[in-house]
Amino acid sequence: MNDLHLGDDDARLMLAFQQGDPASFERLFQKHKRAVISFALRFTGRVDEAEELAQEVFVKCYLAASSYEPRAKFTTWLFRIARNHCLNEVRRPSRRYKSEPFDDQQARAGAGDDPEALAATRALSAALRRELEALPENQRSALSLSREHGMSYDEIAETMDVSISAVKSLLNRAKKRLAAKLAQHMEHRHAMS
Amino acid sequence: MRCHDVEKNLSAHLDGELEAEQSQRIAAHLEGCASCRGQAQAFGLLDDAIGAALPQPEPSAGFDAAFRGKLEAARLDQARASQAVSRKRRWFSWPLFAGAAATVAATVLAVVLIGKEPTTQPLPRHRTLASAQPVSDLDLAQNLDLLKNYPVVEKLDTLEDFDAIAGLDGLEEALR
Repeated sequence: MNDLHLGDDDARLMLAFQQGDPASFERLFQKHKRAVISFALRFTGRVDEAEELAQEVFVKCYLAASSYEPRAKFTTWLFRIARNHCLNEVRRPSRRYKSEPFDDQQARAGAGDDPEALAATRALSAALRRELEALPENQRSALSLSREHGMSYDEIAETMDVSISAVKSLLNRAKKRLAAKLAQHMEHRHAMS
Repeated sequence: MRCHDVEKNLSAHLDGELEAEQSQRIAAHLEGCASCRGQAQAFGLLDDAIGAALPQPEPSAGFDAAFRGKLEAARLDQARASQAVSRKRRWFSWPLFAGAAATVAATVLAVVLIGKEPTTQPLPRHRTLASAQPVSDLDLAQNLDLLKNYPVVEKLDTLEDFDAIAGLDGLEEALR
């Protein structure tokens, strides 16, 4: 954890930015903006609100760049800022987030051309998103960082400022609950058909 | 290995996050336990389903421009805040602060000292020689004109009758 992440391209870009190269920050922004929007989306459920939060996260990163030390992987630092910011913002009474379904092209593509399979996949995805939103924040964040952003347990622990065994426990509980809901959903659909 | 221990570490096992030895023991348990195996299969299906359920949306067309606008505003705020801080620092900078502090201290000291000293009355400009107060050489020097004209001043009462005397001359001529 204390090793320098100088082999990490992002860490090198961040150091270059610290030394006065604004183009390095632009590259980091372009590289990670989608991931940060997607992470914020797990808090808001709305793409427009998630974009707003993601922009604010990058502003914070820009202004706090001098505090970055290459002891941490850049993405760990970035997502730590993102999580703290999203948590603070969704708790604000002035910011009321309302979930709305969004049309996911990816789910459609995965189902091929079969309309029945497409409908089933979309229904499953929608159910899963609802259940994900209903998870406690720490379980949802751990799952998002693991499945969506490919972080190791060690990185998740550092991002969320918890122990590795806590990460194991969070992921286990989240998956157990979602798997049970998924099974219920499949049974329900099976009974309907 | 018991089912409870497997369940606790199942996600870490499937994610390749366990030590090789622990992972082998879990794999051995799964071969012989249908319940834990079913749970492992459900976790695997879930991982695939999550990937499909959580697509990463493309940023909107105005995303970058909105970010730059927010960044510019935040940098301006930061610059204003740091200017305000440096103004405060300048105000409390040592030479200026020391000068101001010295002025205040001198004023306070003067007020205290003046308050403690007995009130000194200025000497009257024309003190009489009969005054009981001792008269210094300086007093005499300052009132030298008065001393020179003292015989005249002493007869001022008589001089006040000059108008009446002049009137008497006129009266005598009229009677003649």
